[in-house]
Amino acid sequence: MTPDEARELFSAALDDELDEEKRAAFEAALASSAPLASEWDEFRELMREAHQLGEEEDETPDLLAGVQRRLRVRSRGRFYRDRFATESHGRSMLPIVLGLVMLLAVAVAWITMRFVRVEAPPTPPASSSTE
Amino acid sequence: MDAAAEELERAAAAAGFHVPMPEGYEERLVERLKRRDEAAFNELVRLYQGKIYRLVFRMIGDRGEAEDLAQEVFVTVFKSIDGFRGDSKLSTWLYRVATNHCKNRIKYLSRRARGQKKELDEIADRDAIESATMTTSAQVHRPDEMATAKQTESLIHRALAELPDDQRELVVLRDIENMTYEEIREVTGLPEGTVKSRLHRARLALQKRVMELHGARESKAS
Repeated sequence: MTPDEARELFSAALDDELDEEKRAAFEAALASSAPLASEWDEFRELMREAHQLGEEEDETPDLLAGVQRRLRVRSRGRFYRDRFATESHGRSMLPIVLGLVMLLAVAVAWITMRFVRVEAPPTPPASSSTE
Repeated sequence: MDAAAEELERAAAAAGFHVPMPEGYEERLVERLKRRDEAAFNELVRLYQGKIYRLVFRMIGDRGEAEDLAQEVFVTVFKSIDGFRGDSKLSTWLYRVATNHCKNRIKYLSRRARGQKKELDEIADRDAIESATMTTSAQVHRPDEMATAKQTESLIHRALAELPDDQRELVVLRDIENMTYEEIREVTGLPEGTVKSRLHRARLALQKRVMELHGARESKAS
């Protein structure tokens, strides 16, 4: 295998798509040419670095508000027209808020029953008829 | 997907883990999107905005343009979700919409002779050590290694920006976004053989250009 032929297999070798026979010929070509082997190492290293770029967590801006604004304008207010719809969690927060309110009401009722004493009405003074 | 599961998915994605969507989630989301359910659309944007923005930025090379274009991608998705037949994954379809937008924007920008490297040049000129908080540079600990890693990143960005659009698209999808050939075939509509041969040429061209830029930088430094 000539260096040019081996170079044509760089991508396939990188993607591990060479069959055994081609892999052996490719490796033999690398072993017989130091410049080719060096080129192959650089190629692999470059692709590894390119792959790492994809793993970076770039600062992604929050696109939602801008997208909603565009849709509201272009639909002439048909979509995202109210304030709550444009908020990221507007709708999904409602059941949580309702749940919390109900929980609070139950807690207040329980505390009232448990700790607040209701005074019994005053007993009338003993009548004089018993005397 | 309930709010807790959605939150978990986002946190996991932010931490670099891939958590598969629950069974049937995508179909339900698409149904809701087709009903123009605004909450579903909010969910879609939050789930995919990072991926779409990064893809667009790699293709365009300018953060301002990328933000604008990524928003346009979602507007297009909102308008044309009825055209999604479910033949591919929703994410693949989103990528297709995004890459088509990118190609159109690149043509428009080149017509305006605006140039595509403004932001990338800024990246190249950034202080290598101070900005070394990203993964590639963060994986090395010595300042000189960090600086070298940062320089290589900037060279890749610049060389990528100089590739022809069709080649850049494939390098971004395969080598940066780590998509399979099957997914790339679905996104680009190209036969797999064409994808592979074009990608091979693109990788060699990228390597050649990175070497040239590296050589130019070395000679400038000396």
